Amino acid sequence: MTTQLEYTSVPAWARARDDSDSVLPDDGAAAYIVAGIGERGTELTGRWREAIGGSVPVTAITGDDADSVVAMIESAIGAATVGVRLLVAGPVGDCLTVRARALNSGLEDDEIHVVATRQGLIRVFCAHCRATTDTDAGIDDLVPCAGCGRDLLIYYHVSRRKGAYLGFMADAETATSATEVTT
Amino acid sequence: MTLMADSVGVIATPRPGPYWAGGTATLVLRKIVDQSVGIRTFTFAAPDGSPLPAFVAGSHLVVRTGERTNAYSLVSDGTAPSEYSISVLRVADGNGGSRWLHDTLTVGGTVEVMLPRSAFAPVATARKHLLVAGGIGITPMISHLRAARRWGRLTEVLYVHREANAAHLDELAQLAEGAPCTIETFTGRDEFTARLALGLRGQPVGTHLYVCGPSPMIDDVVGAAEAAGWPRSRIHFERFGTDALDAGDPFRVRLGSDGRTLSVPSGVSMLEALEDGGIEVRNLCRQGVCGECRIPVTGGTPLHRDHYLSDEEKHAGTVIMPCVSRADAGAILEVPL
Repeated sequence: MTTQLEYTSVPAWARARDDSDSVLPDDGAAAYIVAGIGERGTELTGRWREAIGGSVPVTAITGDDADSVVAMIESAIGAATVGVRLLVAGPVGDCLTVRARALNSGLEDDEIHVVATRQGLIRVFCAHCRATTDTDAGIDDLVPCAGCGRDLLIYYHVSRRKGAYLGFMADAETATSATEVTT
Repeated sequence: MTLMADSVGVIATPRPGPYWAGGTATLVLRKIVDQSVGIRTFTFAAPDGSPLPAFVAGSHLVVRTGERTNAYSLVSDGTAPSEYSISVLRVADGNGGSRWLHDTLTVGGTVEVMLPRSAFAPVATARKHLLVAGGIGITPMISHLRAARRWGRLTEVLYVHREANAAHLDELAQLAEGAPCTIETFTGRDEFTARLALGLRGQPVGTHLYVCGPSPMIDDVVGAAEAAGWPRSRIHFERFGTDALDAGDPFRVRLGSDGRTLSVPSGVSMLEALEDGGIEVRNLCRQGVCGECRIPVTGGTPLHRDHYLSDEEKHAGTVIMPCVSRADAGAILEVPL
């Protein structure tokens, strides 16, 4: 099987992981929320803040991982008005989590700009037990589910709502032991 | 399909009757209400009074008005309707559709209509709806407000009109009463422009903007929204009527079927040229609004002049509305027809 990435729901920025082009992604906004995750992410967002300058309001948020910044980002979005843009830089998995929460907070795709600095840990949602597993594996790799122990194939689908990749039992139809595992 | 029964056991909203064969039906004009100078509301129903197909707020009705086929925004309630109402401004120098409705059609008369079409629907996930209407552009907003009231949607309306041409003011007040809805009306352009600038800043995240009115007014509002940082995904507009299009430059069309090349002179539409060449293209409004005549393009760069295709579709250049759109002088468009 070859992965048909042209049909993937994994965002282009999550596949490219190219942060060399770190000019200000969107200069038409009335205000910005700038979130940097990790060392490199924080460095990039610092550069964006310089590019934005002092004439437009900026809310700057930095942290070591998505969990340490999402609450602050959500509250900044809640206090913002239409015209705001969210700029995020950080590892892929953290950025996917931030994007999911931002979408849930009412932002549209064209109000969110993400630059992935590196792969980092991604989240994999188990289609069988619904647990989420953090892993440094990638698409087409196998990872044991933290919930049910099944070997999950990491599929090229990312949930916009959860920010997690879809994982499903790799050999569900062919494994001789398949009948032993039922949901 | 599951039929829904209400509490007294009467089956509600059965399938539309067989008179909708082919997506068209003949309806009877039941009522004419004068809104203001030159604006009338026409209410149509099935000859036997049977239910009509439901429609999404912001939908329009394509009506055969005498010789012409025109699209008009529905102002009535789209949920389980038994009537369709449209409000029409009489345009003395238009293509004749509004004159036919105003001057020729009388109560009890019949018109041929097509199933309602949705091109200006409310965004279901919006946290708030900002409706900006100019003149007769209030019509789709009326049906938006009916849906907003039904679903308890937070709504703000800015309506600018000429003193004598106000329409649906009583209905607007009724729809706002007791609903999470504010309505402001303006008869002065400057006052409206100032209020709009203020209204575009300070909307909560999740607000969507809907604009309907004359083309220059739509351009102004969209421009003001973009200047205030609104992204395209939150801006929705519907143009009505058509601006007079220039005759265009002559170009050619190559047919994929037999390799023939047809000339499209200045002043002749690509649709007319195709028809003259014996190629049938389904069409209705012939003014770039209804979307019926959409055809694929396999070569050349179309010069889009319609109000139907999205920006993405226009940019992709793989489809064209031949009733109004053309190509640059001397260019060749290839169509698989």
